Amino acid sequence: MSAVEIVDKPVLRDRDTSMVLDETPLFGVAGSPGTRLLAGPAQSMGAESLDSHVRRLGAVDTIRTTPQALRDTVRASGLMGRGGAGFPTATKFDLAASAPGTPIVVVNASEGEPASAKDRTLLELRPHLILDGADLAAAAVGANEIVIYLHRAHLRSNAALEQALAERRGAKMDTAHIRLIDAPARYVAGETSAVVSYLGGHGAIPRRGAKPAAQVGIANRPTVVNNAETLAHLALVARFGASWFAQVGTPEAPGSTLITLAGSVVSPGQVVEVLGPVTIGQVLERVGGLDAVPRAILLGGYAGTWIDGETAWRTPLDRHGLKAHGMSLGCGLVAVLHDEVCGLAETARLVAWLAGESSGQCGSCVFGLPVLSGFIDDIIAGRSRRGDVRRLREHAASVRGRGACGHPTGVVTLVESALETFTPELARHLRGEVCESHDGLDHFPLPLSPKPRP
Amino acid sequence: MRGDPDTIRLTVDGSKCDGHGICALIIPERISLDAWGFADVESEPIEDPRTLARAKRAVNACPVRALTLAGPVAVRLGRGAAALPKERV
Ligand SMILES: Cc1cc2nc3c(=O)[nH]c(=O)nc-3n(C[C@H](O)[C@H](O)[C@H](O)COP(=O)(O)O)c2cc1C
Ligand code: SF4
Ligand code: SF4
Repeated sequence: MSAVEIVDKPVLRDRDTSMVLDETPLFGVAGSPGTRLLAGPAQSMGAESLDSHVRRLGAVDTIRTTPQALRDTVRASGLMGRGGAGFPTATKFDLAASAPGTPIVVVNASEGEPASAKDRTLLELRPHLILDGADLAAAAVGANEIVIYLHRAHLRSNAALEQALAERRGAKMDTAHIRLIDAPARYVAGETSAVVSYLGGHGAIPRRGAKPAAQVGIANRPTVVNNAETLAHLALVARFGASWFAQVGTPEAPGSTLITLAGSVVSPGQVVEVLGPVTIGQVLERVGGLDAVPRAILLGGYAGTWIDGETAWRTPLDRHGLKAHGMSLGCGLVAVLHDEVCGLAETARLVAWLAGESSGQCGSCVFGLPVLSGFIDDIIAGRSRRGDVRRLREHAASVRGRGACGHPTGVVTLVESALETFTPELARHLRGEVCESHDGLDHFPLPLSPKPRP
Repeated sequence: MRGDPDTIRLTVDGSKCDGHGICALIIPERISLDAWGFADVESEPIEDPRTLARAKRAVNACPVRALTLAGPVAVRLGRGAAALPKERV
């Protein structure tokens, strides 16, 4: 996949809107030609009204299909979840449709990843696309209830959502019963089994059931939990079909993908729709406003992969290709490290925070992550020697794959990729050097200061 | 959700394991205890019948029922309980 040839076509740049004036654009922001989820009004116009949405795409309740035909179309499209794991959406639908009980559809718009903004931005700009997708998912599996799982704190997207729901009620469009539920402000609260546990009246903590949530979920009913972006894609797949969907993207990872630029870019939180083979460097240059290759980027989320800047610059933003190289596009976060911030110090901040976000159930996570955090804190404080790094690596390897959810493994990935990416920094710290204060510099955002370690 | 339904795998639910450590005594070739005494399970498919027998004993011995044998096997739980549901997905 690294062999993808990037044809660098002349593209006019305007950071906010209508920047791509190319015939086959490879990426774009809201309103850019060629975009799919973000097609329609420019970003500055805010939420697209129901009128405009229906004029552009037609009303969702005029789509004539059967549940089986819809599921077949989704299967043929190859649509994979955009919440991080890339799970085939059709498989989830088929499981739910054939399991006993009336299914529930959950729109996961909680976006617990601190620097990611794609789901809330999509909800803010194209609420009707997500609501169409939820209606279609309900139709595909025979659900009579839709839960939109979101964060109260995302004020703009929630306002857009409420306005959109009012418009649909006014147009008598509402199909299934819709409830909005505020997600607890915890990192793991957006994980599927935690969502199901919370909506079932328990804590928002991951659970390992004998059967997947799609079969046995909320109140033992089949529960389809899909990321908000996944459902927005569904709204287009149902209208334009499987082969249209696969005209962009790659055969292994069809369709477009939303990414969020964060960290040291001109507008952190800017969401970009990737439509074709484009490198991380191209997007960072044209939309992120970068004029030089950064020291490193963090890809896929805080529990993601550090990639050194030179490598990242020529790496294609392609879910499948990245996976083949041991990296994950995850939730689509591309966070640029500030040039004056030490990557190990940034990692230490993130690990301390992530360790505090454990749901407290699994020994390897509860005890293992604080130890990981302690190892890195010692390194940046100049207290570690080679042997400590070896012990850190051994400890990290022993935590990988453990626990009832993917949280500890994600943190291990962050730490291991940091050790690989920041070797000169590591060598300096092992000589006892300590970074200068990073106060006042652009750190990656964290919702709360790291909790003290137990 | 993972794996081929015809293979038998031993897995632990890390959120249930309390670190009693009995399992590691019964099937040391598949379960080791980490620095805090929690079970670290090697979940490659089980083929050897003696390993399978030990895995079943470990499942039955775990006081908090944190261990599961997934695949086409029915495991009798201790303490007179019924067979574990087949876990195929
Ligand atoms: C620790 C953890 C946190 C997660 N948080 C979210 C989240 O905030 N939003 C989300 O959509 N998916 C999140 N996921 C992924 C979900 O488990 C799940 O894959 C997704 O919601 C399913 O939708 P999809 O199949 O459409 O991707 C998280 C996963 C893990 C392991
Ligand atoms: S691995 Fe950690 S975050 Fe996941 S369920 Fe266990 S304790 Fe909670
Ligand atoms: S016997 Fe059960 S509780 Fe004890 S270590 Fe093994 S799996 Fe964990």
